[in-house]
Amino acid sequence: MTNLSLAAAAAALALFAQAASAETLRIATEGAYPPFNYTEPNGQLAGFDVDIARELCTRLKAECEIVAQDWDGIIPGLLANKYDLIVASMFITDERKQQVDFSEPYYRAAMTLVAPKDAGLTDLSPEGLADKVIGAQAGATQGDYATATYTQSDVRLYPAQDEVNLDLAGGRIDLQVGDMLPMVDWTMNSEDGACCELVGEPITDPAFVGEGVGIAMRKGQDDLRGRINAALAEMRADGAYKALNDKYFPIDVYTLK
Amino acid sequence: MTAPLILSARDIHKSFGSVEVLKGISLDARKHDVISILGASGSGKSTFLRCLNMLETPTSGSVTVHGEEIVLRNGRPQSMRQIERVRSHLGMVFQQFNLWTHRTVIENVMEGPVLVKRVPRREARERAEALLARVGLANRMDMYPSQLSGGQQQRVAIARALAMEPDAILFDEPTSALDPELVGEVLKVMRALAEEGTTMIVVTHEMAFARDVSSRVVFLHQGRVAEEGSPDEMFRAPRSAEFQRFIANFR
Amino acid sequence: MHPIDTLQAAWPALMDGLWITLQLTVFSSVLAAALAVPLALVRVHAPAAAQAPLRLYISFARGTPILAQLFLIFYGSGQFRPLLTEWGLWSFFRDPSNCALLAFVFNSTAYQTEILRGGIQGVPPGEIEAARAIGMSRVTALRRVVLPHAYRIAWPAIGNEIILLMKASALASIVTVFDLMGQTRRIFSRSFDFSIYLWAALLYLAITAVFVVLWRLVERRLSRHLAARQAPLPAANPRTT
Repeated sequence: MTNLSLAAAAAALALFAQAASAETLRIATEGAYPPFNYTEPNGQLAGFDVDIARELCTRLKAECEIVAQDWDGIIPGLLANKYDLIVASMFITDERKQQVDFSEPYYRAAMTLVAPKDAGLTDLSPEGLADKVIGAQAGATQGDYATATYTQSDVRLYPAQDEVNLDLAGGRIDLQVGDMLPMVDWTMNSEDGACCELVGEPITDPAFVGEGVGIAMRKGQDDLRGRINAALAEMRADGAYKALNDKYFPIDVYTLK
Repeated sequence: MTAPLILSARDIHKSFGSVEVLKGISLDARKHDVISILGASGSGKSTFLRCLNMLETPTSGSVTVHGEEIVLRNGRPQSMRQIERVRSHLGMVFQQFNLWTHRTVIENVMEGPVLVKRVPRREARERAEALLARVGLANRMDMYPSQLSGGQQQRVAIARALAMEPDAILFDEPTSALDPELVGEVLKVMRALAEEGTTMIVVTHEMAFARDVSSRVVFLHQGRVAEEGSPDEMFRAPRSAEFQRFIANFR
Repeated sequence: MHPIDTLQAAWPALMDGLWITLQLTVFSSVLAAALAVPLALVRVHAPAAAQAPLRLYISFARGTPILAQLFLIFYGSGQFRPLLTEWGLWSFFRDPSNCALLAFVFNSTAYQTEILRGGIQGVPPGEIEAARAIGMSRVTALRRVVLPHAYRIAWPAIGNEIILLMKASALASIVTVFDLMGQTRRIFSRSFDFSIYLWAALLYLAITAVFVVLWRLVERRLSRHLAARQAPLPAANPRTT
């Protein structure tokens, strides 16, 4: 072979290798959980989770493909290889760990009760709320917590968070158990959320709140997990995380301070 | 002494849209009369018969049953209750039998008395069995109409009309839909009824019946009574050209 | 978890859900059937102008997804709570089962009306005439001739509609009603064991199968008068024929 064609072949090979190493990461989020993930009017997915996901892809030098998936199918979809990661404000719980692996937490969370401003509720214990109607999102830790704790109340489970919000604003339910940060966002920044306020102490029971919120992936992908954890640590260290955090929240959600 | 007047129709006109089908027909039926109404198709004979029990409402004219005039207002009966009451005293036998196919033979005959005349079921059943025996169908009383031949169905229909103990029975071409070999059994029953003195008004094509069984014949032509009289007069010495032409077709 | 173990663990919850599903289906279809009678009569007898609102309702109910109707009623009522409270209706709409029931009745009535209309129009007119000629009132003729025939004709189609309604009742789970599907989803969200959906499907299938058997039994009874034609006639008695 001539020198020229050898060089051409080498260049082509190098290019091919380069292209091969640029992986595509398919990421699923719910798209119905503002301000962490939501769908804009033009159909684009946005929010804190989406921003974190995009930042991760850049650091992992991967192509990001972000899709929306309804909450109750989000883990089955991952297991069926429809996508590779879930970045959807999913709490790390032991139960879920049986099905999937998680990255290190990328933010901490607590739950809270939310009630209408004029409700005048004084006793928020399970006995005190015995005859109340309490709503929460199904399949989420809020739903599990509400069902397990308020055994004497009428607990209603909804497929999506904004449906719980709608019914609390509409008066069909008396309270809801929600994730703290989204509830802060809802009560402060939205029109129908103005009806209500957070009540009681934040719920930080690790049995439900777990270790925090993480990124889920199929089991056995230790290499990918390591790379994601490294990227998250990088983001914390060089201020990229803070920049995204401050876009949405008045406090540092990583530590909840 | 003349028999009491059962039914009287005066100057009946009936139009369907712009077409006038009945152009002023009058008829009196006394007790024990057997009146045959003859005419070509389109002469209005069925329409006229149906005006007698208000299945068609005359455009003008009046119908009086047993002394009670049926009140019409704006071409509609004023009181459905009056109509229903009058109808319960008149029986009708249809060309297509119109038995209630979802009920058995005996249920068909009991239906009217039980539901309209409020006769107790047991009594209605006994009467129905007797009537079915009279028309020769006692052994078929628990069958459904679909299991009977046309002639048998029509005989049940006659029993059904008789069950109401009517003042008069209207027959609308009772044998026209029957196979020829079944016509005889129905005519036999009708003849027996006539001989027992039942008041009958029969629209028919059966010339033999008209000639031999009726007490009076009425011939309609193009919506009018062209000729009427006793069968003897009509068949032996027809006066109108139309009737002469009519019976010529049946020779 | 082994599928049989899943079933054993979930059985009480599934039975609770099944009971709710049955109640929803039965109440909805019975109410819809009752409403369908007068509405079908309007469809058959009323002049065209008077029928317009009814036809509009039927178009809408049949032409939009039940889910959309359910959401309109459920979340829509929440939006109109002050008005509903003023009219004393809020206590009804507050309960998700009532909203589901209303949505299903709203939807099924439209279908049942059209099905029954078809049945009524299939009744032999001569039989109706015979009933009137004997002096039966309109109502009595309706009761004794028109509706019996209409239901016999429409029977299979009505059965179909009830089966479809039962399957649609699964949508109630989306508005927090713990019917069979609601219980199934709840169990799945805890265990992620797919087999629970299989068991739920089998339960729905079982209800449908039992229903079909019963419906057909009634159909056979109602069609005796038609089946009779096939049976050979008894030998005619020469003396009485």
